[in-house]
Amino acid sequence: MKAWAFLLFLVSASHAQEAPGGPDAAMNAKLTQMAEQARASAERNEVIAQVRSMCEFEAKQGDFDKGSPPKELHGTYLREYFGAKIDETPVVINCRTLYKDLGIPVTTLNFMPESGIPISVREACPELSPQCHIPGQDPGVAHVMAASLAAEKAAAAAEDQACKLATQDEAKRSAEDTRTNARIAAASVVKCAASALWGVGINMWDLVVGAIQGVGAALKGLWNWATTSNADRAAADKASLAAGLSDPQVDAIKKEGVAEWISRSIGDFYTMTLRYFSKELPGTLLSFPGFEESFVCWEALSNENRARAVCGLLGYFLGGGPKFLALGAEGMLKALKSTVLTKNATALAGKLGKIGYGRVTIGSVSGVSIRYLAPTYQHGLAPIASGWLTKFIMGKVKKLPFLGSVENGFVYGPMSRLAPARLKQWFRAPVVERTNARPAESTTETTPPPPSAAKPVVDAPVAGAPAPAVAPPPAPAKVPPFPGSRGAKSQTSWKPQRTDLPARTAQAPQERVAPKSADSGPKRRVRSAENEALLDAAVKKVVAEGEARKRPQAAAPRPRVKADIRDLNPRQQNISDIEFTISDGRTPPALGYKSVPARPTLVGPSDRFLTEIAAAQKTPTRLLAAPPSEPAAAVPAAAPVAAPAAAPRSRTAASNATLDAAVRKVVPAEPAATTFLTKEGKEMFTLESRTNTKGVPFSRATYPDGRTVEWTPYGNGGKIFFEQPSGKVWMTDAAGKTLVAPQTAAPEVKPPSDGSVRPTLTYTEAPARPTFFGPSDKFLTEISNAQKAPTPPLAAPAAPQSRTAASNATLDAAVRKVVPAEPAATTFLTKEGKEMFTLESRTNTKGVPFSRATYPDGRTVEWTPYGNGGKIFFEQPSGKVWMTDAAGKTLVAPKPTAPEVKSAPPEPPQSATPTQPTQPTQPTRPTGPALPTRRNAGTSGSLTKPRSSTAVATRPARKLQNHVDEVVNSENPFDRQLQIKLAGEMNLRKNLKGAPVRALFDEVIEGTEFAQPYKLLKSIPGENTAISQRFDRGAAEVRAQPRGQTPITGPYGAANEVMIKVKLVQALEKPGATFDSVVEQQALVRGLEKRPDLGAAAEAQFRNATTLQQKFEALKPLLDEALRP
Amino acid sequence: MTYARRKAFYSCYWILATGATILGLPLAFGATVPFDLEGVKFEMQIPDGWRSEPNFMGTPLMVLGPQKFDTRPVIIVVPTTVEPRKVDIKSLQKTQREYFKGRDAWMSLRGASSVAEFPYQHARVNENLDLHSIGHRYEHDGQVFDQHTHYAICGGKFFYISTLINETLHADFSDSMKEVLQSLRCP
Repeated sequence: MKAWAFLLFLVSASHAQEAPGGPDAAMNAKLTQMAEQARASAERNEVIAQVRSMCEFEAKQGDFDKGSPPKELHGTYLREYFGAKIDETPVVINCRTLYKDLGIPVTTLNFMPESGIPISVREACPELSPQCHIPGQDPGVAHVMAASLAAEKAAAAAEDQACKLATQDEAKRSAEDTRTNARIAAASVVKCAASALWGVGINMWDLVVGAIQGVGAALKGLWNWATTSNADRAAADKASLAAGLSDPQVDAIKKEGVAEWISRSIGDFYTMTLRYFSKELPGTLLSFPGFEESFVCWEALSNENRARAVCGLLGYFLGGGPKFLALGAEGMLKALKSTVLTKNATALAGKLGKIGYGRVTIGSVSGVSIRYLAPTYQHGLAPIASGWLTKFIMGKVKKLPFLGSVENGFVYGPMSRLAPARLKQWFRAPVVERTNARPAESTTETTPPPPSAAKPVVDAPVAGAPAPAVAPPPAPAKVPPFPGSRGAKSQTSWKPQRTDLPARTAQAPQERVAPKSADSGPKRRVRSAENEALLDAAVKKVVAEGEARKRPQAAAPRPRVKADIRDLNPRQQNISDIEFTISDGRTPPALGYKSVPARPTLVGPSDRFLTEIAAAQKTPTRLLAAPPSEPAAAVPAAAPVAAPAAAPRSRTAASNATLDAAVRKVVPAEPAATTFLTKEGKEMFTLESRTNTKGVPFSRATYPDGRTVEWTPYGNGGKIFFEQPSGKVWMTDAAGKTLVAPQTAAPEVKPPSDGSVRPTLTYTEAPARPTFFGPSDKFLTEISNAQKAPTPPLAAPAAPQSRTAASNATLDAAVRKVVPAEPAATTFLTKEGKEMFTLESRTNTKGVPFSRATYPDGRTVEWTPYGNGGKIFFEQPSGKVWMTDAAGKTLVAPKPTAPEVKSAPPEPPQSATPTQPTQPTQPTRPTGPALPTRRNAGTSGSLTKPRSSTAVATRPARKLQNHVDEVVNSENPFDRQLQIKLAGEMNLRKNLKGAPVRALFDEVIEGTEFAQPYKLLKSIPGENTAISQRFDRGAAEVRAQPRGQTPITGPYGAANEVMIKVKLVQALEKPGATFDSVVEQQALVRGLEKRPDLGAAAEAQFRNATTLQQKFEALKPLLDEALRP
Repeated sequence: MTYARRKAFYSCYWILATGATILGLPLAFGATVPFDLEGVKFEMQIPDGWRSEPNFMGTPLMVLGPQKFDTRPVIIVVPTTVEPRKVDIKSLQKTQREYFKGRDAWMSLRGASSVAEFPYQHARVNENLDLHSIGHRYEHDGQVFDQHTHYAICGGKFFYISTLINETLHADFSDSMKEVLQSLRCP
């Protein structure tokens, strides 16, 4: 074909030589006209984009419904393109008329026909005449639309005609130019990629060799064909592209470098690439008209986002396919969202139009956000690889070249249609310039300038560029980030601006500088000298109160203020100065009122737990022997012994142990002592964290009666030891049963020194309990149930019941789902306040991080929270490895049979006098977890021989750990950490289906920003079931999935769908969430795409909704539509 | 070229070739080109009309055959620093299914379809060059290509080599491609 075309070209050229006059004047005039029309066609999109941008901005602002006045589109701007033909006056655009009155829902503004012209206008103006007037419409609208339609039609005709006259040299050039316009679709993107290649200096060799050496050798050990699978793929792509190159092309690439060559010969490369990848891109990238208007403001991109963009595009051209391209596009979009919008969002939006691979779209811009629809690339290893690639590129990025310019808020790229001069600089003789320069009656032929004339000048601004038509929107006001929010860099940067609190530092007033600008944060008040004096006085008062607290309470005389207890404001500061009276007129003992210091944040038990402790404190106490009788002389002979009610009651050792066990469940959050009160304000105990002389941290509770109990809250191998002030050790298990008692009788009974009940002191309201940080209720319930699993009684009826290995395995599997967030140990409690297990993150001697759960019975289980390739291995202190799959089935068991059932030591008699004590024992670690063995029916899977070394287990675990950490912990990798992590985990745990996938999803999402929305989602009636069903359906889908098919369904699809819902809930949860803001969710946009008719109803229902659930229900039809295959 | 001239040309060629063989000289079908890529030195015979392009299109070395029918044979040579002992020779026979799996995945991505599979072969070209090869034939966009992957162990060095040739060029360039591969020398 090429040969024939070439021959025809030669024929025509020879013909031209023989007839210097060339085609006749009429033909030339016709061609000139067609070229002019082509130019108009090329510029039409700019106008359309401008109109659309403005109107969409207006729509976003909510002016539509208010019937905003018509907007004036910049006249100069229009005249430059249409002025001479249409009008000299500014064209008035009424967005409401343009869109809404034409029956196009506001929410579908982004989904207008690609021509940008509503269908109804086409119907109203079939003649395509500039004079066409739509009844009831603004004439300007008709003018613009009709002109656009005319230009469109003329351009199409010109192209057709040019193609027919392809043998004519001039026509051939015209056709080429028309084709050049089409090539713009990919030009900017490829330019970015090419220039990035050039600027970054990426050597694809690195990638190929890296694929061979790095991935292959490291993972596979010895080489085989599987090792070089990636290299095969890259090589196949490269060879395929190279096989289509001609010698001149090879020379050009060799001479200029691939990047420059691609830049210059974009058409060739584009055509070649299009042909090569055509199977992948039907109807997506290259046929997406909006792509013509897309150019990435390279300068505005941060290096990170440049790297993202390059990564994706590079990955695409390396054969990664659309997934990579989508990543690149997303990187660009993110960059635009974060950076460019601060310059001139509206203008840029008009410039960008739409960028799209498939569902990646830049739509309307409100000045603060760009809408885009993320592609469905999140599955598979592509994102992981891209994360790695991004990191790799980031290491290379210094300063990438800027290929365009930013002028007057507009972004001009090398292919911008607003910058024909730049077009000329970058590309070979654009038709726009050449046809304009040539008189219509000219019959001389022109030839394009040589390629060397297209040397790009990257930084020179474009002269005579049109000014932006739309003023930039005001920059969004900066809001100080709230601590803990994503926008907050550190919590220390935000401080509550309360001036009524005493200051801790004596900072001079003049040193307190007000913010430089009004939007840089909340203003801080500058204290005056008078305020300083007041402050000092307040500080002195606080100090004095503190000192007074240290003195004996009885010696602290205080003025009394009569007050009824019912009127007490618990927040009142000077509570100690109030004398309380009780409604019945009684007055509490005047012993001084202990002021309770501010409570530290308590991480741990619930109110129920405190109730348990309070109940333990109230347990019946054994009546002690009658107190010594009064002197006989003072007592009548016939007088009976003192009534039991009058005798002082004391606690027994048993009740003390029960109480201690309850108290020990409290994990103090602060080293400072914390006093726990009952709801009635009664002091229960004071808790503090200390470190003993052996360096062992322990907790100490001091009861109001002065008794103290000490223990290690972190389990101490399941044993609780109380180290008394005397240094003697008394050890119990978690249930409070004595294991080792001190030789001497412990002072378990300690009557009050004065023989009277310690007076109740402060009446105050217990503070609100803090939010418990840890696993969800589901986990707690699951774990609690597992702990309650029926356990067969042991042989000896008297022996305490113990857990079997089977129930232990079930419990372990449940516990392993919890990934501790902090290295510090965290004790999880049941809702009843019962200790379930203590979780901590550690690193073993081989550097492998792992989690350890310690149960109250001392049993420990350890695992790597990231799965270890689907295997869970427990590394016991002895170094033996015990491996199970994620479901808890044993894969590798240690050789020696671990203690299957660990029975508790015999319970000592609970009496006031402890049993014969044994030698004090140092706290020891447990002998090891109760391991399932072959005899453990129901829990063992395919048992294999145990590994003799941990190396086999730890090496992949470490690699996996590093890999996941690298992706997940990298700085904002595509803002899809969760999906990436999930994808990675699911890839590694290939056998997960159905419920286990949901469990993994729960595991992954915990601790992320989506955890709370996910919880809310599950709280919506029916959604929790729907989530489970979706994962189950995913399991069925993956079974039905043909081999080699892209896994858009299956577990990935299930997880993605759930995430879509989670994100919707998250969006709904945001303060001030409106329908317009929420509808930007990708799924809803997709739903609107499918069913635009649902938009109005959903919007109406949404506006009437008040609760999260109602809003969710309002949007659910759209969501369901989007999620429907 | 007339028949007589062509006949005379071939006669001269065969006489020279036969003489060179008798004298122990290598049959010169092109120039010996030395390469030093990233510290790996080697040389290859590049036939007349072929071109070797180091660091071309992101590959360490690309050897391009003459263009014909809008296509050309391509050889990609990637010298590595991998020690040959790292190659599990014994498993190459067993793992060839992995190769075809990878190719299937690639073809699925590219919209290509498999035509044939070329199972693993080992060829000891000389005492300093072992070629372990595997390949497949696929159809893409109406054209059929042969792609091979070769592990070349050459004088203590390990090379990854990928070749691609359109089936329309088999008659013209298959032998030359093979000769280029077998001409690998690692001093």
